[in-house]
Order: sequence, then C-alpha cells, then structure tokens
Amino acid sequence: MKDFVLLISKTPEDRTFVERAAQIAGIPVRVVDSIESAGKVFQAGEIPQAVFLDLPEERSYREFDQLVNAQSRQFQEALLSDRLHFLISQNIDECPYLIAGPYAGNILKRSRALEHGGEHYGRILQGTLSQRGPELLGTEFKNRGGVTREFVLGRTIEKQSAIEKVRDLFVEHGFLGRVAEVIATAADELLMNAMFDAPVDGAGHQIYSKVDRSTDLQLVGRHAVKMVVGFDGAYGAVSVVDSFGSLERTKLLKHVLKLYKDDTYHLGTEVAGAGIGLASVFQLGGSLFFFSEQRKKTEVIAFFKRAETFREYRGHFRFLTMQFR
Amino acid sequence: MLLNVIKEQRNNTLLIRLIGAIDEDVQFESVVGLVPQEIIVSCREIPRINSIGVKAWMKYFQALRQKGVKFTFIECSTAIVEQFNLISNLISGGTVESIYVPFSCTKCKSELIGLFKCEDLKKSGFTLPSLTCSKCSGPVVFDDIPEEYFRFLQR
Repeated sequence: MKDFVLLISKTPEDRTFVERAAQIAGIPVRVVDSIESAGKVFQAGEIPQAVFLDLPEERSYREFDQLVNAQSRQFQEALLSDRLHFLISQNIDECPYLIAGPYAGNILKRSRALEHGGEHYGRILQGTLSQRGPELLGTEFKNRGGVTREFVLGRTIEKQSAIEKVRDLFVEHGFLGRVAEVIATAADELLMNAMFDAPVDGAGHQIYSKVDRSTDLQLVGRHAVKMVVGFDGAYGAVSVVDSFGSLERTKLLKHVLKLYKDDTYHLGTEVAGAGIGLASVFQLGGSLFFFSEQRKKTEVIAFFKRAETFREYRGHFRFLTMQFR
Repeated sequence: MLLNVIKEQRNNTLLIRLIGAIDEDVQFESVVGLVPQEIIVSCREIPRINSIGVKAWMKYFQALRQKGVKFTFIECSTAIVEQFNLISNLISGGTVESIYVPFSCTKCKSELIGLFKCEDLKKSGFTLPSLTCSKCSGPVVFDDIPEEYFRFLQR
C-alpha cells in the first residue's frame, strides 16, 4: 500500500477539498484528471491509501470498473476495502449505479461550500485509515477544545430522557432549534438501532428484531449502549457504540439509501423496526460514519454542521462513510 | 416528552391537537379514542417524529381511512412537513390544509415560522410575501430549500 491519496477529477473544488482532507490526514495527494491517467498509476503497481473519484455518470463508472477489473486480484481486494470515496453533485437516488455496484460505501455529496469541508473530512479520512476506529468524539474532539458528554444507558426506557438532554445541549451551544431537533431524532434512531437491532445471538440472528421498541429492556454486559455527544465549534456529533459488531454492509446500504420521496413506504409487520431512521438522518442533513469490527463493536457517528440558518445547514456538504474490519 | 392529545368537538368534527414527540410510545387509538366521520388534526406542537412514530402514524391514519374517516392535517410543524417530504404516502389519504413555513431574520438571526394555507402556497407558485421579524422588525427570508420544503405539495 503506497502512502498517498489519489484524486480522479477535473474539478478544482474537488482538488481543494481533497488536498485539505489529505493534509489533515497527513498523506500526500496525487491528482489525475481521467480514468485513463489513473490507470497509469495503477499499472505502476501503486495502490493508494484512498481514492477520491468524480464519476458523474454511469459510463464513467463502468470505465472505472473495467480499469479495476484489469488489475491484479491483490489490487482489487485492497481497493475494495472501503478505500473509494465518491464525490457526487446529484442526490444519491439519482446515481443508483454507485449504490448497486461493488464499490458502494463512501459517498460525499458536494455543496457550494465543498472546499470548506476538507478539514472536517480529513479527520474522517484519518479515522478510515486508523486500525483503532474513529475516536473522533473522545480524544479528537477534546484535543481541539471541543465539548463532549457521555451517556451510558442502563435501560431502554432511559432513551427518551437522554435525547431530550441531547436536544437541550445543542440548543445551549447555539445550534438552531430545528437542527437540534434533527440531532435529537438522530440520537433516537442510533440508540434504537444499538439497543434493538445490533444484538445478535451466537448464530448471528437478531435477538430483538420482533420486539416492540417501547419494551423496557435492561442494557447490561454486552447489551450496554454508550452514547457520546460532542461539539467542536463547527460541528455537532452524536456517537453510539454497541458491542456486537453485527452491522452488514448490504443491509446498511439498503436502509440508508432507500428513499420514499416518490416510492410508497409499505408497513412491514414481520419486524418491529421501521427501516427508515438512518435514511431520515441522512436526508435531513446529517453525515454518517459507520465503523464496524465484526462481532466486536459498531460505532455510528452522525455529524451536523453548525450554521446560522437552516438553509445554510442543509446546503453544507455531507457524507456517508462506512468501514468494515 | 410523551405525546399529549387535546380534543375539542366542533359541530360534527373532532379537532385533535397532538402535543409532543411522536415515537415508539405513542398509542394513537388509546389517546385519541373514538373518532367521528371527520377529524381535524393539529400538528403545530409536534417537534419531531422518529421512524417508529412514522410507522405508528401510518398504521393509525391508514386504518382511519379504511373506515371511511375523513381527516385533515392543519398547522403542520416543520418536523411533520419534513416527513411528508421524505415519505410519499405519510399523508395516508388525508388532506393537508396548512403548514408552518420556516423563516430566518437577516438582522437578528431569529428562527421564525409563519402559517400558510397549502392552497395559497400553490396558487402563488410558492412565492412567499415579504415579512418582517416579530422581534427586531428586520427583514426575514424563507429558511429552507424551496424544492425540498414544498416538494410534497408538488406531487
């Protein structure tokens, strides 16, 4: 693995963004403006630590796919392990080829102020390259003078009071009331997932998939759920950790990226969950970072930009990043 | 904050005001009770709704529709409008009469909301009138992305 980040894009804003992100992550950047030029880098046997790509239509995606398939198996395996970061301008539902393909994982939605997001994503990039996991809210936020608050929930029914506290905390720190409600909803969804969806038995089957979400369960031992909320001046974040590490990539993509803006949402009766919580968080302006160590832990962090107006908040760049170990 | 419901009978119509977050604890059938053939649901004081709340909402209102009950949502909070936009069938066969529209004061940066009838918004092509801040009299601007916020009214 070579110590560099590769950017495949013709867009100057992408370059500014990726250069800043790579600088924060402490890795040099190489920029090429075409898939053909990227091919020359790959053919030299150099596997980048991360690749940022602008593939605005399916044709260029197919071209990239062909290029990857022409490389060695070792190269393909290395690149498929969460190292690709797609830069898109459209809504996610407008580029289904990115979701259906084998490289789905890290998607960054551009905005007018993309270049300012580089610093923030640099820390995410650092987290993706770390073997220890993100640690973005504990050490990282505190090192930058941020505020963090930890919640350890002993029972599922303590969720309500915790999310009210989360809401109040962000209002106190100058977030718009409407954004604070979105953050509270995100905390709610992440906690429910950790409490009811993450627990699996020895065979990997979900324990509580059919259990009503209002059930009072004790959260002890492996079922303990920790939530950390933080604020570093520019971003607010909510992190929820469980000790099961049962997150599955395909299931996650299905839930986060499925939209019902035009499609009909059908009420499922076979499971107690709704399957729309994470998608709502993302659609309402949150960025999501999933870090899962199989059978050990899953950490999900939702990030929210602090802004003076809701319009500015919604217009900020956001991302969906997932790392599976 | 558990959902609270205030009911008011207006001739043959029942007005129900939903107050609080809608989540897994909501039991619409028990808190609303028996309903007549027509109800009006005020959503002004719903600050948020989670995914299980969405499911409960749809289950309840779809069942009402099957029973032939006519329902109208009024004074929909921004949180409810967001969900109407995200879930195409959340309205469940009802009618949305009025919604709160978010504004931001360009001078004092206050968050403000204004109540608008959906019919008027459609007629105006979603053009909002010039308004001033109730706190500092500064000019206010619509504070969301129009194609996102009014999306459900354009379906």
